[in-house]
Amino acid sequence: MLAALLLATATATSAKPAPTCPPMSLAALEGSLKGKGETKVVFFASWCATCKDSLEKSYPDGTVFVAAFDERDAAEAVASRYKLAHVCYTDEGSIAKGLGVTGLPAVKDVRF
Amino acid sequence: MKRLVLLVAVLAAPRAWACASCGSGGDDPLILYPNELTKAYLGFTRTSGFRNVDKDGELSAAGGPEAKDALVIAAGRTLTPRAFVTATLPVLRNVKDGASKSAAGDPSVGGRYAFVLQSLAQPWRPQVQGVLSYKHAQARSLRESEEMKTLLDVFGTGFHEIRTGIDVWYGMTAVKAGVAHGATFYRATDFEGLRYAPGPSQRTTLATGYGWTSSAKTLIGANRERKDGLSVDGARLPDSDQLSHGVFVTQDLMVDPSSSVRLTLSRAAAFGVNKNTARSSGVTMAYARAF
Repeated sequence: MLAALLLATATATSAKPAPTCPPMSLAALEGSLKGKGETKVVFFASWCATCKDSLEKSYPDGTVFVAAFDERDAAEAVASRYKLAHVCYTDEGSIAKGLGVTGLPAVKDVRF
Repeated sequence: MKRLVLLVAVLAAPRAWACASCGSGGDDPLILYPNELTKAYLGFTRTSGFRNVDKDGELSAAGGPEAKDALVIAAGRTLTPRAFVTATLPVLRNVKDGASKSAAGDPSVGGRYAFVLQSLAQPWRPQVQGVLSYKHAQARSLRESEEMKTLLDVFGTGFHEIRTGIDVWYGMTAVKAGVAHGATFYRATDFEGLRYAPGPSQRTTLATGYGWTSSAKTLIGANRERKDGLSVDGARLPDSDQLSHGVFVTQDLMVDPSSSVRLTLSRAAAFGVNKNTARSSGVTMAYARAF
């Protein structure tokens, strides 16, 4: 009984998909968040040493993580390591620029 | 952007540029981070206290300028998160006995490509960059000097240079470390009917540092440069190879999210075995701004 429970738990854990950070443009992000009120957007990059603290903080439901100036594979590896439970995207180049983000880490509250 | 009706607040954005680090060699004045699309650099270096070091390592008074000033102007452009290119132009001034001469130095262009990027997912994986640069010899060299007594008009080596190398850097933790190794190849050049061909040089730099805060970083390091001997018309000059061991300490400070200042103190031929080179001390103050 115990073995079966452990096996079931292990299976459930391993079945959890790794976080993904698909490419996203500002226009598409606006579309997905339009009408949802104020949304927290956390910018990070895999190569950004000082982004560690912002990745480890707790954020409210609906927070969106955006890997900027980065590559998708690298962003997803970080999302996996830090067990990001929020939506994650890789900036195609327009999100950081459009929201005025030039340095990392950055956290912005936006309303579309 | 028309549909962006309200940007409520910036909760945390300061000190944004003190992220990944690179350039452990410290040989390139301008290093761009992936989020810096364009960056400009202005640096001033005064080198003084020259002493000649002969083939046996013995020190003697130097006959050239007492001080050399260099105003370095550089600009860089990021191509991808892994690659950037730079262009550099030094403006030089030699000083001796109250007299001075100024001229443009040798301009150079270069680039770096990160074969391996640092990552928060694997903090102990180093950044590995390939380095390639070209320096165009246009400034007057020792062999073209018209002031052989003072050498006030010598502002370059007289040889076009290609430098290639690799730069390994651990920068994801507060304690940082790196090693850079590069080789420089010189194009043989004719002066007054004689063909001068310097041998290649090898330069290795070890550096370590500490990030005090996300905006302040101190680096200390040492370098070793060995240059093969000079050939004239195909004949190698005996005892013409050079060897120098130098040290440096650098303090980086981010003054705002888009700009930084840097102070570097350096000493050439500072320790160990040195040969056919010059001992000197340098102070560099630099300002860099990303756009």
